[in-house]
Amino acid sequence: MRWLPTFFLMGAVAFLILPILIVIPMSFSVGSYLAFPPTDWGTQNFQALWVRPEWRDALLYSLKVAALVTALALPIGTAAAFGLEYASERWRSVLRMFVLLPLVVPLILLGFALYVVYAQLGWLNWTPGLVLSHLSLAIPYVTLAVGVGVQALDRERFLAARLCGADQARAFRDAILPQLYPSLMAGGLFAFVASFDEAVIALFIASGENSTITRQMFTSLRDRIDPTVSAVSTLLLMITLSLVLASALRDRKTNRS
Amino acid sequence: MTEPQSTKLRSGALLEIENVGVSFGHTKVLEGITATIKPGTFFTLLGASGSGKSTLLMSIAGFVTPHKGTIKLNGKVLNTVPIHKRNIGMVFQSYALFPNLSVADNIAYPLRLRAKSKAEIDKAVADALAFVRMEGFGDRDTAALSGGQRQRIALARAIVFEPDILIMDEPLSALDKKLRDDMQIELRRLHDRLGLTTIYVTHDQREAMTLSDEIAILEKGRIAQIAPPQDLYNHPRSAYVASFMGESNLLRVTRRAGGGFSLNDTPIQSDHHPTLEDAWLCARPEKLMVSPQPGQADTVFDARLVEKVFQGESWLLECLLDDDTRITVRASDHGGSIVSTVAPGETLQLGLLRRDAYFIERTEEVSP
Repeated sequence: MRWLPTFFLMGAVAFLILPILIVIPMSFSVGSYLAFPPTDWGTQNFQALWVRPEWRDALLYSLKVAALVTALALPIGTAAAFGLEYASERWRSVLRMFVLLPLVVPLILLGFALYVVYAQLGWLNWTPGLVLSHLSLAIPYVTLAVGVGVQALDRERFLAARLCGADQARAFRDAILPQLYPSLMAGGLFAFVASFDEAVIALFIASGENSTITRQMFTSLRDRIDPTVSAVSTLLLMITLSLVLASALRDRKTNRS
Repeated sequence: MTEPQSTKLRSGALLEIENVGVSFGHTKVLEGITATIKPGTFFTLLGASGSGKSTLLMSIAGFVTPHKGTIKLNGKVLNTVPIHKRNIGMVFQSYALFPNLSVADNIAYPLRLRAKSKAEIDKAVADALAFVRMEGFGDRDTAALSGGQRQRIALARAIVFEPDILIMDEPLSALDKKLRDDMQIELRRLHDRLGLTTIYVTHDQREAMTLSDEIAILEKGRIAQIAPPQDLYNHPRSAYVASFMGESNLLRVTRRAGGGFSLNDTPIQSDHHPTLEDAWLCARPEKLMVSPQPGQADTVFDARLVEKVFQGESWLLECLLDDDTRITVRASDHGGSIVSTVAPGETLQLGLLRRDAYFIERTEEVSP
């Protein structure tokens, strides 16, 4: 009966993954509506993604926002991870709750609240406003991922660098940062995906020229079932999978050394 | 005009620790630490865990700030000098090598920070590698090295920039016993060749005796005794020191009217005449002679053998004195010795030389 747990695991994985994989054949169908199983095969949906400006712009905009969010969330989230590690026992759990709060608040609530505030401030459909809102989702992921790395730090390397003649900043760069690369990679990946995948907040505060790809998918599904959506889905799936796979392979490599 | 400093002088710095105290919150970790570490000395801080030995080392390095007292290096107060400007080489228990750098880059690291030229760095790294007998390992990954090799590289990195002093925090405790014994001898040799003032932390008394010119025993944040290994072993100042440095029997003795002490009415012949009211006789198990020939020992008393254990190079005998005090004797089975034939229950004679009878103050604590 040793295969039983494996069997259940495979079953669970299939249950979770197969419905997602269904978008891949759909994205190669030809026609003006989404169809499964496809009757004709072709790459017109992928071409549309690049030829039709509303899709191309949305995709590029999402990438831009996600990149900005990642670049900002990494230093802030890392600082928070160190802050939590050095906080006194009494405050640590409270502070950690605050950092993780944006992940447990319902997104629809966050989106609505941001809509009200941003409307007052005139920040609607404004890139920094969207980046800021996504940061609140991305920072907790970075803090969680880097926090694991911070706990496992070999601090003696920092001391060694200091006595070798490095000032604090230099010792951090030379002795601490290299130890955190794997968890920074993981945190960065989470931050990127958190922003890139986000649709609910974007629905409230990002429209028109500043429409993200997920929002574009949502509206095009609502208005008419545009088969381009399946091509976007396949693309997102590939991007996410390759990032996760790259990170997993990296972990395996560092664990072995 | 003063004479130009020779390299030998430079490498042997004087370290003075004056009345240093360290507190973590309300807990006093170190108190009233005073020690003078002479140039070129191999000085060991020995103590149990929690004795404060590592804290003292960290105070010298600068990672811990004493709340009082001064630490002076060649007469200059170190307390306010930033860590990276102290010019102290340190070897850590965990080696603390940078795994993202090659062996040569690890050793070159302190020199790069000092903006040395490439030629200077290459030469110094090659010299340091040769010094620790690791020539040809420069291009290796540190992950590919054994524990002992990593320790050598860590040592090379700690001395390559010609520090004023070298400090080591239990550098051998992660190695297995055989390698540790070899490294002890080698560390001592390297120290003799360098002439660098070295401060070494360990909890292993044998390691401390093997390596050191002088040992400071720390007990609960205070210095119990500072002395060369032989003095410390032969003339411990307290019961704590006696029990920490090797095995010892602490036997209750009474003061005699005419001076000196007696053990169960047997006068103890000794060269040591302390003015103590309550005293213990400190008798090392290996200094006790089993059934000595007449005239061989200065003091002779009876003991009943309770148990006897063969330990390879010697026998361990557990005996009881007349007043039921336990006494441990370590005897080697050389020719003519009765150790191998004597049986439990039999009464033996134990002998002690004058020079081996040493008295220490009896304290409230139960004999350890």
